[in-house]
Parts: sequence; C-alpha cells; structure tokens
Amino acid sequence: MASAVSLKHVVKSYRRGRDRVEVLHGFDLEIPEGEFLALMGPSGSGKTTILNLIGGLDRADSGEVIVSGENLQSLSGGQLAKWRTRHVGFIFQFYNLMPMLSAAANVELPLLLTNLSKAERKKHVAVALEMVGLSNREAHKPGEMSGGQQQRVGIARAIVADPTLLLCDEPTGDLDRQTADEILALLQELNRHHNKTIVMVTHDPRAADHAQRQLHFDKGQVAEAGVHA
Amino acid sequence: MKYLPLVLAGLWRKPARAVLTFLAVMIAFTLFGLTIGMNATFDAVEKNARDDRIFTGARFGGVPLPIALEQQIAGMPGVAGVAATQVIPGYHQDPKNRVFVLMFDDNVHKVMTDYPLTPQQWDQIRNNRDGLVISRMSAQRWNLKPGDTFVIDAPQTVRADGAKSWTFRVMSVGDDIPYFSNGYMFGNYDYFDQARALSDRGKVVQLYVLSSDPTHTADIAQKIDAAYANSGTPLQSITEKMALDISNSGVDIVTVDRDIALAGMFMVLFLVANGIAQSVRERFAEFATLRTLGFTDRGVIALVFAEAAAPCLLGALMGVGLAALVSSNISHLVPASIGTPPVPTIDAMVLLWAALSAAAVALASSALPALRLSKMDIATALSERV
Repeated sequence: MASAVSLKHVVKSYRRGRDRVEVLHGFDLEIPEGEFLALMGPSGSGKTTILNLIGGLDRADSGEVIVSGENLQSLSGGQLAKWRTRHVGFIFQFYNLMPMLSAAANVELPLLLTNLSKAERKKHVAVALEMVGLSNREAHKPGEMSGGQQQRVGIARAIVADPTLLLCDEPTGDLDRQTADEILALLQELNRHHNKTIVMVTHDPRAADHAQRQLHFDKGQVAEAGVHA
Repeated sequence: MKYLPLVLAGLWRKPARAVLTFLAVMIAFTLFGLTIGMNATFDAVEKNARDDRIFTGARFGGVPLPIALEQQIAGMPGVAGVAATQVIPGYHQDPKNRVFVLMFDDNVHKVMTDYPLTPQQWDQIRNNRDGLVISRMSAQRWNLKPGDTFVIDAPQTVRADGAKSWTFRVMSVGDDIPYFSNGYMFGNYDYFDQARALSDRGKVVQLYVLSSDPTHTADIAQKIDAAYANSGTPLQSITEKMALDISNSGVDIVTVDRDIALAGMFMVLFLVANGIAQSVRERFAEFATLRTLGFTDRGVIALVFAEAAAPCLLGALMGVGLAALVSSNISHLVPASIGTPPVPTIDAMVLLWAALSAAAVALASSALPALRLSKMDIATALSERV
C-alpha cells in the first residue's frame, strides 16, 4: 500500500530561552494510505510536533516530510497554505470554531479558498453536515451547541473539502465518555467507509483503541508500537 | 464578496465597540467634510476672484459712503468704471430664515461683467424698482418663480414711513455665482434709496471699482485711499483678489481648517488602530485556525484590513453625507446673530478625499496587527488557546 505520510530522518528542535531543545532526533515514520494511527505519549514527547510537521504547520530542521506525495520542506508558506486546503483536514481538542459564524458558515470556511460557486459550496456543506449528523443544526452558532455537536461541526469542516488526510489533536479531550465514543465512532467510519487516513494524537488509551495502530512516544522516539485488530 | 460574512462576523463580535467606533469615525468625517468643504468653497471663491476689481468701503466701521464718491472715483486715472451697492439684510417670515438683497445702481453691470446675468436681466433690475433677479439656489431655497412676491423683514433697514418690511417681485432666475454660496438676490438701488428717510438717502455701503490695467489694480486701490485719507469719509480699498483670498483674513483659516480635519483623522486613526489591535489580540487563535484551513498570510492580513476599512469607509461615507446635510441647512443651524456663514462645498472631490483618508487610516491602523499576524507561528498560536 502506498504511503500517505513518510517522515525520514526528521530532526526538529525548539528554542527555549537561550537553549535549543531537540524534540525529534532523526525520526522515521511511514503511514500507509487509509490507516487510522494513534500517537500517544506524555506531554513533550514530540507527538504534537509530528502532527504539526505532517500538517505543514511547522518545518523540520532537517530530513524529509513527504505527505500525499509532496515534499513539504520544499514548499513556500503560500504553497503550504494551498496544499493544506487540498490535502489536510484538522480537528482540534477545543474545536476552534469561529464563534460568530453559524455551523454551516464554519464548515464552509475551507471552501472559500476554492473556486466553487456559492451553490456548490452550499451543497458540499450540506453533505458534510449530514455525514456528521448535524443537518438540523446548520444555522446554530457554536455557543448554541454542546461540546459534542461543536466537535462534529469541526469534523464536518475538516472533511468538507474532501482531504485524504485528517489530523486530530486530542479530538475527544474535552468531551465526556459517551460523546467521545460517538466522535471516535464517526472518525472510524470516515476511515473505513471514506478511506480517510487519520493521525490522532491522544492521551486516552480508550480513544487510541479505536485506531488500527498505536505509537507510544517518549523523548522523541517511538517507545512502543502496537496494532489493534 | 464571499469573505464578507467573515469580515462582518469579526466586526460584529463586539457590537458595542463596533457601533461606538463607527459613530466616532462618522463624526470625525462629518468634521472632515465640513472643514475640507469650507476650504473648497474658499478655493472656488478665490479662483473666481478678478484681479482688475477693487472693493471700496468706509475705513472706520460700517459708516455709509456718500454716493457722490462714485462719480469722483470714476474720474481718477486708471479707473475704468465704478458702481455702487447697498444691502438690505433681514429675514423672510421667520428670523431663522436669514436673507439679504444686494441693491445695485445702474453701473453694476458695467463693473461686475463676470456675473452671469443676461442683458435682459440687468434691464429687469434697472427698469423695475421692486424687481428682483435671484439665483437658482435662492429660487430653490425659497421656492420662488418669476412673478412671485417676496417680502423681507429688515429690522435694521427702516423705511421713511417707519416700516421695516420690503416687498419685491421676482423678475427672473439667473445662474448661480460661486462667491454667493447661499445664493443671491439682486435688486434696484433706487427702490431702496427712495424708500429711505431724506437724511438716509444717497448712501451706499460699498463701491465696486474697475481698474483699466489689472497689473496696477493694487496701486489704484492705494491711490483711492490716499485721496480720501483726510476727508470726512476715509476709505479702505482692497483688490478683489486679496479680499477673497481667505488667507489674508488675519487668521489663515484654510490652514486651521486643514489642521482640524487632520486632528480628526489622527483621532480616528488611534481609535481604529486600538480597536483593531485589540480585536486581533483577542482572536489570534482564530486567525491561526484560519491559517490551518489554508488561508495564506496575505489572506488573513486582507481580512484584518477589511475589518479596519469597513467602519472607516462606511463612517466616511455617512460622515460626509451628514456634512452635506449640515451644509444645506447651515443657515438654520447657525445663530441669527452670526449672520450668513459661507456654505461648505461638499462635492465629489470632498468625498474622494474622505475615501482616500479612510483607506489611509485603515491601512495605517491595520499595519501593526498585520505585522504581528505575518510573524505568527501557527503551532504556537494554536497551543495558546489551551
């Protein structure tokens, strides 16, 4: 199976005050297309850094970051932005919705960057909201919805432009158990039935159980790998 | 247009702040429109001023001049013509409706050759004692047409019988003259003179002197004043060019106007800059989210500029509109004791200046937030939300 994500000898460090702290030390990772991968580990272990590198939100100091066949290290800031619109959907712990916009307007945001007409955008938004079970909530603003509903809007926004890769940073970290399970089931459905490659950062072992593969990080290295049935 | 809901959402996030900012911008641009419009009026008046004409009046406060001076000055070397005028200041029906009529003698048409009156209209003034030729602006303002009667109450200009009202007949409507920014009404001096008490007759308020050589107009003005310096009616003559150049009024009102407009713009700049900086600070994580969705640096900065520009441009438009409204009603808004103020010219040029200033304010006020956004580290900005 072809690789959706390929990280080769990636080194990444951050400046903290006068010191430079290396988070990833020649890190390698292959994620096949259509995989649901969970990244776990303590804070500071480097899992969010990997997510940011894969999403083109951050750049490696050295090494190769190839996502959907594109070497992200060679893209300019503007090219990366366009690339993100086409290939990646982000799902955040705190949903990161625009509080003044309705659910439909929030979902429509990535489509504003495309050449789709207003009618086409509206159609895509309706489909995305239906997929997450929120067709009847399109006019509601985030403040008028529960946490679970807001996260569903966040997922609809992530999938509306039909990216192949979904990057989830603690998507259930702010939700109760039952709602979290519903969200994870939705992610599983997107993975299984819509062939989305999903990379999910989580602290929650029960959330990680929904993934096909788990990687446990410690100090920028994979400490343990596991495959879930 | 597709980004409009996003811009409006950003603006409307704090409705009270948005409304107050808009109101402040609108008031500042009203002031801007009035001051710049006033300067436009001064410019138009100065531009149309003739360099071969002299205004001659009494040197010491409002004393009327004997009309005999008209003939005497006409005989001086370099003088091509002299005309006399009186004024009837008063009001129509209500003291708030201030109006004045300039009463011209028979020579005015020879000296004020640039006035856009036809020979027939000059004849109408000359041949009809109570006749009036009025400007389009005055006709519109007082809803007058030829044949209508127009009565002015003039408490300071009493007739021989003690009456203070003057009745006129509108003969025709002439083209507007920029100098008369409130419009004009021209009447017959003889009507005025003959209606006055014997002791008040033969008096004029001003003489218009035409120079035969425009390059020597100032010299002729000096010679007129010198000739009457030791007479019973010392004169003060000033060339029209100088009289209508507002910068010679003792206070450089044009500069004052411009400075007031500029101060207003600075006030708006600080206000909008503070508002937009605060708004960007509060929504930094939201902008980071937009970046993750694929918005570029420039796209996000354009959104911030649009948020700054919207209240500025809308406020400029509404402010200049309000200034135009104030201008058209200025005589009703200013206390009667002040007299008839010049009317600011709120035209397309003032609107253009206002729009350019609004765009400049928006650009300047969004510069620092834009710089901050352009340096944004998306990953860090997103993590700050936690």
